[in-house]
Amino acid sequence: MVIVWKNAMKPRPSFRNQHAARTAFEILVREHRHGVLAYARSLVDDSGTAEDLAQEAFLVAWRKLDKFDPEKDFGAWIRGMVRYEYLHWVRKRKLIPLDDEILDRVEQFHSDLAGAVDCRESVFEAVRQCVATLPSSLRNTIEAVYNTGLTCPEIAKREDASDSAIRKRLQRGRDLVADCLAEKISIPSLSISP
Amino acid sequence: MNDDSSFEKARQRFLDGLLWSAHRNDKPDEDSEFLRRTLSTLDGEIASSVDRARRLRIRAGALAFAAALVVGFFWLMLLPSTSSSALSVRNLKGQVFLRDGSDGEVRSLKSNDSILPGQEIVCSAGGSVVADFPDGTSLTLEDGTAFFPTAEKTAGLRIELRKGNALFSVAKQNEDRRMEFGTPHGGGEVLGTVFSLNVSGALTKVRTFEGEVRVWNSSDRDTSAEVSAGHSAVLSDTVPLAATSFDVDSLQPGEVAWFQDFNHRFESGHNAEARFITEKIDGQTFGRLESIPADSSHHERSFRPDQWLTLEYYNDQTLFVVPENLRLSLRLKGMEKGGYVRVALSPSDPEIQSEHVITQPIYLTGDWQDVELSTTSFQPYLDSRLTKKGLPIRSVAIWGFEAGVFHLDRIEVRRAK
Repeated sequence: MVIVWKNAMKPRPSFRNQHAARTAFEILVREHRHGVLAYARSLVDDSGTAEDLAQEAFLVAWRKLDKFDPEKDFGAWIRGMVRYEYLHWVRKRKLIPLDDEILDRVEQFHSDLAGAVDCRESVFEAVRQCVATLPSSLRNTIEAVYNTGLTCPEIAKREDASDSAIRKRLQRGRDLVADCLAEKISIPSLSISP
Repeated sequence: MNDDSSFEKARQRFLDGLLWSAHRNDKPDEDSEFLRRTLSTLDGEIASSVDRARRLRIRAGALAFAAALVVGFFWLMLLPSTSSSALSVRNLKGQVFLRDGSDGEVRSLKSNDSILPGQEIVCSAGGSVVADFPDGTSLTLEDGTAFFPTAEKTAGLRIELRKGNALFSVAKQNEDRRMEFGTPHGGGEVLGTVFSLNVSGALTKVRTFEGEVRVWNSSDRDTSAEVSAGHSAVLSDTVPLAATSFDVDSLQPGEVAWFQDFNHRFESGHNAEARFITEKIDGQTFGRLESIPADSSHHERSFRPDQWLTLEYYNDQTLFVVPENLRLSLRLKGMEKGGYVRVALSPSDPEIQSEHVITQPIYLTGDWQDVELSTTSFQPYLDSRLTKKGLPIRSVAIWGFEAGVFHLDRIEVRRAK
């Protein structure tokens, strides 16, 4: 893969090399898309915006491909692009961005995760397994938010519960998933359990 | 912000993203849509960067061209008039030969060869050739022999079809320099139109797809008939000259029901739909490419109109009638790697006009490819609509999905052999 990548990238501008680069880049998009989308969704609460940020990031990455060092981690590099796109998106809408400290820590979590597993897809499989082990009330809340796309007030109305009860349920569910993940793929920083 | 608070917020956000992405992976449609969209954007980007480079080259070449134009003008003035009507070979199938009129020498014809007035094209059985005049007029010769007489300086294009089938797509000619054709049984003239000739035995069949052709028998040039679109005529000493409405039942196996020469490069990534539309000038119908600005209401988050392309060919009348055993063929190539196109036919019936008969995706390669689609490619729609009289079609469209740039040479509809 790295060999294909290197050969494809340098020199870039000629048409023939662009073909090879396009092929190599498609492989990278396919390989990293889930991780990049997860990272984008960590920065914004809206799924559509997360997809847009991820897509823009891939496009910017393609334009700047000649600046990428193939020896380095593509995942970290593309997350940098997502972060840049996120700040640009926030500025354009005159919103308040997340603190740099939070952004750095989110990046650190994703970086730890990438370092802890050989195959990125195994992370998502582990997440699914962890969700399956949750008690049904927590699992249903998690599914309603992340699968069906409902908001906490919508779930509260549907289940005739208070908004804060649903938020607590969601947070509790996430914490348990974090504990489960920390154990499965050894990222101790994720767990809040002693 | 204190450390614990920012850590916890970051942790929750990280889990938020992870859980969302894990659940999203269970929705293959959303995932493949994201991939399709991202890769299409990429292809659009590549196409436009290729364009930028091409534009720079064109600018550099423009200066040289301007200088060459001045020299070329005087050079052209000195050239014999006949060389301006040389045909250049676009596409060949099977064995096709060129016989020189002066010394009778015969040689094999190859792609990009020129055919000069005074030369004759001879197709062997199953052989065919597509050739273009400099003005955009094209000739397709199948299993036939055609001769190009040396023209006088004031005369227009002239072709003599001695036998076989010929399809003509004639660019607009001057009123005083009409394109003329001759066969052993008669002749005709056109201003600009699409028509076919079939010379066999004691007669010539003329069929007009677009515009109008004026024809006459060889025994009586003073008596002529106008063959308009959707009509045909027979040139023969034994049959009275008359144009009659064309009937799909009379289509012989392998005979063309409709064809259109595009010979044009189409690109997505221009935030527009490209449509070939026809317009009438001086009673003749001509096609042109028109860009239509994308409808702003289509600018949804998940949809980018600059990533796809519709090429639609339509007319104010029925283009052709799909016979029961249709064979639609396209000659096209992708200018970038990969990408798909689909072919869609829209019926003339106003009640079902908005429906399309769509084929399976055609994968584009970088090489010219002949794609053949039979009636079965359009199932099951055609089954429900086809009657013995066939299905009248109003438009043919090529939908490019992730197609980037593609070059469409021609579309033909024939009755299957």
